[in-house]
Amino acid sequence: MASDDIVDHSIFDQLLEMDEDDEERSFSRDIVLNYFEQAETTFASMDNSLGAKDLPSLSRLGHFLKGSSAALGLTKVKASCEKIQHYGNLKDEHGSGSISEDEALKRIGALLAQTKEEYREAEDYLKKFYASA
Amino acid sequence: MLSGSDSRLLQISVLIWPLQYLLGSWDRALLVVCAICLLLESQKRSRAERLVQDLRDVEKLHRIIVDECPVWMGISAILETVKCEAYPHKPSPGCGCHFDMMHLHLNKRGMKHYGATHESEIFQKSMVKDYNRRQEDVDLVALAFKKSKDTGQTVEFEMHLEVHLTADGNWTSNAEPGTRSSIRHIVFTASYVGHQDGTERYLYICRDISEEREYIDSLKASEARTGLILSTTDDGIYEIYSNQIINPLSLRMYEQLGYTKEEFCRLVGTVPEFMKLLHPDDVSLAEETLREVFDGRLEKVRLEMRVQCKSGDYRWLLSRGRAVKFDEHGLPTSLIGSMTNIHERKTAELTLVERNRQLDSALQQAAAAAQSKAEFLANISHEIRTPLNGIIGLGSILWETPLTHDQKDLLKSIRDCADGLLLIVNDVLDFSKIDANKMALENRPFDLLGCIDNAIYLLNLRASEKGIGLYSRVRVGTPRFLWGDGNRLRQVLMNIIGNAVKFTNHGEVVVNIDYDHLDSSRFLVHFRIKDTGIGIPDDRRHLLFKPFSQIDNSTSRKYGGTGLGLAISQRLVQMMDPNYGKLTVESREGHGSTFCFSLEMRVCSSEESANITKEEVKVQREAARLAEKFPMSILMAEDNPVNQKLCLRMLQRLGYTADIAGNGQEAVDACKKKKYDLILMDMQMPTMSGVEATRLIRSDPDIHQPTIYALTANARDTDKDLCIRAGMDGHISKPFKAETLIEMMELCGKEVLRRQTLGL
Repeated sequence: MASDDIVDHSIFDQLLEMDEDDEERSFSRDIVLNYFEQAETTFASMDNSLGAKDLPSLSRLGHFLKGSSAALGLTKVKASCEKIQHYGNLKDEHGSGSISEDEALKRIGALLAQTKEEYREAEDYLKKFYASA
Repeated sequence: MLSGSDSRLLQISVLIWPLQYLLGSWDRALLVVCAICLLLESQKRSRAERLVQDLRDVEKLHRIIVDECPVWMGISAILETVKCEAYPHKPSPGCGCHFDMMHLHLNKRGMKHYGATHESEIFQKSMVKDYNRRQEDVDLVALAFKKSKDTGQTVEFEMHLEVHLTADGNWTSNAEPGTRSSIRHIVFTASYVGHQDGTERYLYICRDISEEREYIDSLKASEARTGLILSTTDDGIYEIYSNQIINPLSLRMYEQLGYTKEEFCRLVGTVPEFMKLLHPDDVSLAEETLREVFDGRLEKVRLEMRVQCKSGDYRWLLSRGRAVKFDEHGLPTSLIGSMTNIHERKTAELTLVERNRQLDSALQQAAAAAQSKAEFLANISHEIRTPLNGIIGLGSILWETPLTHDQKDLLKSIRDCADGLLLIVNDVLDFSKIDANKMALENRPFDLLGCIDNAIYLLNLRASEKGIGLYSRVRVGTPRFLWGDGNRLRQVLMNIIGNAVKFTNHGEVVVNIDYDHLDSSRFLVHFRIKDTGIGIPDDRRHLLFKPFSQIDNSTSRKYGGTGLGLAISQRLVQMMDPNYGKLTVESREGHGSTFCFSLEMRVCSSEESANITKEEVKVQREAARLAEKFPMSILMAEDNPVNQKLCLRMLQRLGYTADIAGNGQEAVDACKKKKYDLILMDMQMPTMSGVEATRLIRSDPDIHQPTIYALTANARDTDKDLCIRAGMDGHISKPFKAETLIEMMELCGKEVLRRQTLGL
């Protein structure tokens, strides 16, 4: 599993197994669609919270999206969300140490754009996957 | 008569008279006159000598010309003699129509023919008598000679002469050994040259034109043949010159267009005129092709074109030709070709092309229709299943809530309906998929025995409820691990065995498995499912595999079912093995039925088998039974809906249902309302964390203490410690694999059992 893979298949395939012998992959497809909706909503909320300089909210949102990203094997998105979670808690990217609020906001500001990019990448990949499935 | 010289002498003699006066004496005068006469004589003589010499020179020249002449030249005289004894049936002697001819002079060529080296050898020898020429031949020649005398003109005639060819190709008149006879074609030219020494003399020239004649004959024959070919060919033959003139060479050239020769030649003499007859769409290509030919860029022409007939219609013709004559620059001066009528063929071809195009279009439409049908199915499938799964899922959740007896009854009916509906929907969707050729079978290693066991296991309950036996009888040596679609095979077995169980009220249902060993890797496996049920009436048997039909309308009411199961099974069996796969039935009403089918399958290698043993056997067999082995009521505390769904699904596959709490507080509240055996607790949730919730639950005496497992995001030690200190029983790292969950559930299950046994 390379950390620069868009999707970690050792995890994503678990999800696919849930489809059993359904060729349409209704279950996993549904989950992925739910995730897309969730991601869009979460990013929107993150934008708002960033504007309102609400660090605890950002941390919570980061944690929230981290969970589902991890469940689908979207390693990059998950890693970035985790960082946002830590920054929101005024911790450094590894979750230890301490940073100032300004520093946290600055870092989150930069990271958010990157996270969205990573999400888009994953979204494309998954859409293609399901288009050809 | 005085000759010229004599008269001169006389003139000179007369001179004596004046001379004697001049000279004074007769003697001197006479002397002078004699001297003059002698002078004149000598002059005359030398002139005569010169003349004779000239004549001799001329004669020599003529001799050379005659002798060296390659044709046979000679002078002959006619002798009116005849030897009619040789021709007894011919007229009598002196009839005046038979002749002999005598050689007088012959040139070298002629002499050679007679085998003579000197004219003296042939002089006065005669043709018939001496040289045995045929009388008819000699008569012919003689008559021609006489004609030339009569008409005063040269006579020319042809005749055949038999000669004998020597080894070196010369011909002689003598039939010597080593020669072969040959009939030559001769041209005789004869002219009368006068009377001399009592004979009429004729000059003749004899020319052998045999080869020329042969040549001309073969040319004529060749021309005739060509003419015949041209006249019988169905193609129009033409020649086009570089100066744009067209020369139609065969009748068909204009006949095929409905013109007469005159009409065509009048209408079309040059290339531009011909182009006027072409269909406008074909003109530019034709012009370009001709240009290329005469520019030397194209050697062969092959062109299909529409040419206008006399009637005005266009006919398709195929023109094929090539450049045949070239000038000193290597450029073509002439193109010869043929025009073949391809009208019928071409119009048929065009019709075919159009039909094909229409067919393709129709096929495309059909494909599009099939595609949209398939897409419709795919969409519908999802649309139908989702709410149905919702009903089933929610129904099972509702089942776990406190319900009155009546409510439970009603709910049971609802759940049965939902389950039944699901079966029907699955059948209908499966059947539609197969029908639209969208069903694809997997080809993976699977466990045949596992498949059979599984089907039997799932139907065992129903069979035992009815008091009938259900078991399998597998012949020893039946291959276990095979390539194919295990799931679909199980579906077929479930359907057939299910039917057997459904329609049997006492006795047993036996699944017999037999096989034939085809070769080292392939087996023909025979499935026979025999029951002692109600059987199928003979006259209804044909309805058995028809979709949507049931043997009896009442059976659907009594026994349920869609009427699709067997139709689907039959098609699946056929898809699994297009050669042998065919579902058949034998039955006796009141006694039972036997359903049979055979499948040719490939055995797995040992490595392939090992893989199945690990994954499928474990998951398929154990997983489905886990919830029965370790029944538990489960609460899942997880805030992310995506994770909730995923986890629920994993639990469902093990036979479990679970309730959901969105945060720590909800989890605590839920525990107060209901007894849970197991809580799967996410560590970090909004409002209240998992740790906090666990502490609250553990510290509440009213709550039945569940086994609590943490769902940790990171496997860091601090988390583990935290879990234990909070009072959790274990943890599982997210994201987790199905196998990990199964292991955990088994552990939990055992833990739950332990607690129950201990009365905790």
